[in-house]
Amino acid sequence: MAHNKANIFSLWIINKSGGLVYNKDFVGKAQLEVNALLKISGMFHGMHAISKEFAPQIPGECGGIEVIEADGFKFFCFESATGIKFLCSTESSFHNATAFLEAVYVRYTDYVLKNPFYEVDQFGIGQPIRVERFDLILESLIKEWNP
Amino acid sequence: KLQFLYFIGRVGTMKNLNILERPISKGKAEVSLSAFSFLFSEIVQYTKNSPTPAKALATWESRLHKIGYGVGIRVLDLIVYRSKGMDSRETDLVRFLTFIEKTVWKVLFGKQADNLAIVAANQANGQPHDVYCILDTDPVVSHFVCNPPEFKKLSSTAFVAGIVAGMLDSAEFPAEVTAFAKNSDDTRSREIVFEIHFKKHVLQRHEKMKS
Repeated sequence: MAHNKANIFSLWIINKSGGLVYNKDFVGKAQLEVNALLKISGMFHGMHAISKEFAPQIPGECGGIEVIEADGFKFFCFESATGIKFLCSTESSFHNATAFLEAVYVRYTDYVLKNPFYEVDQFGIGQPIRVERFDLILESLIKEWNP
Repeated sequence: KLQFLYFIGRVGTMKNLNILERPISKGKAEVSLSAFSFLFSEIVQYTKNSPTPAKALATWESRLHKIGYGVGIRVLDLIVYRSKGMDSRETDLVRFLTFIEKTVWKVLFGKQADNLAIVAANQANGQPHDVYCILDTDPVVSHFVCNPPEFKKLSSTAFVAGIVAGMLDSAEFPAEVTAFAKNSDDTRSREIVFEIHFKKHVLQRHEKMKS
């Protein structure tokens, strides 16, 4: 698998209601505090939905925001068929993070959804992912992408 | 022409046989791990709260054990029927355990268990009491289960322990089977030990048969 030697900085997972259920930083950068992260995730969720309406094609056929290019980094978004969004921030030279985000999606369905102790939704509120195994699995996954 | 029509008619009736009259299938069908894992996840959640919320981990585990037990008593006959070389009922303890470790594990989980060991222990009154252990480094059934800190000691593999107990009881080797993590300190290790404590008369019978 030939991928650039670029780095993936962080990973976020947003559920279909727009709540942040998981975030992980891979390079030891200081993270924003939790409330700020939740607000930003909500805003991104809204923008993603709006972008689908703005598309010049027939509305409803657009997949929404895929890449945000910024000064010094890129931000990729992968939305699953069920409305879960996987986001990651990467180095500017990174071309396409879809493969990485799809791999995260596979591990999410395996180690989070099949885990009897994870509740997707409790009293209507999406629950954060606190599954130790999922963290370990992601750590070994990121080693393939961040040499 | 009449014989031809009769043949067609015979084949047609094969499908209409009720399930008790059909021949037993070869058993090659496999179930997807994902499908089973979702079912097992539901079983674990269900046993926590039904019929009453379990107050102790032991209660929760015993419910899982009971469900596995129901599987064990039924599946033994089927596996024995389908395996080659099992023409008569197995009466030797160690041979039966090896059968469970190798054949049963292979049929149910697609791979053999990793080890069968005998741990010699002594009861309180000084009498020797052998404990048999089956080791599995990552039981397929609980592959996607990860215990949170508040339920760290729960063995969802109590379900598998129940299967083993059901089989041992059906084969006239009654025993208590428990499952627990081999290295409870190392959370990354997924090795599970199934400890089999045979009833006293079974061990005595085994001793007599050996001599």
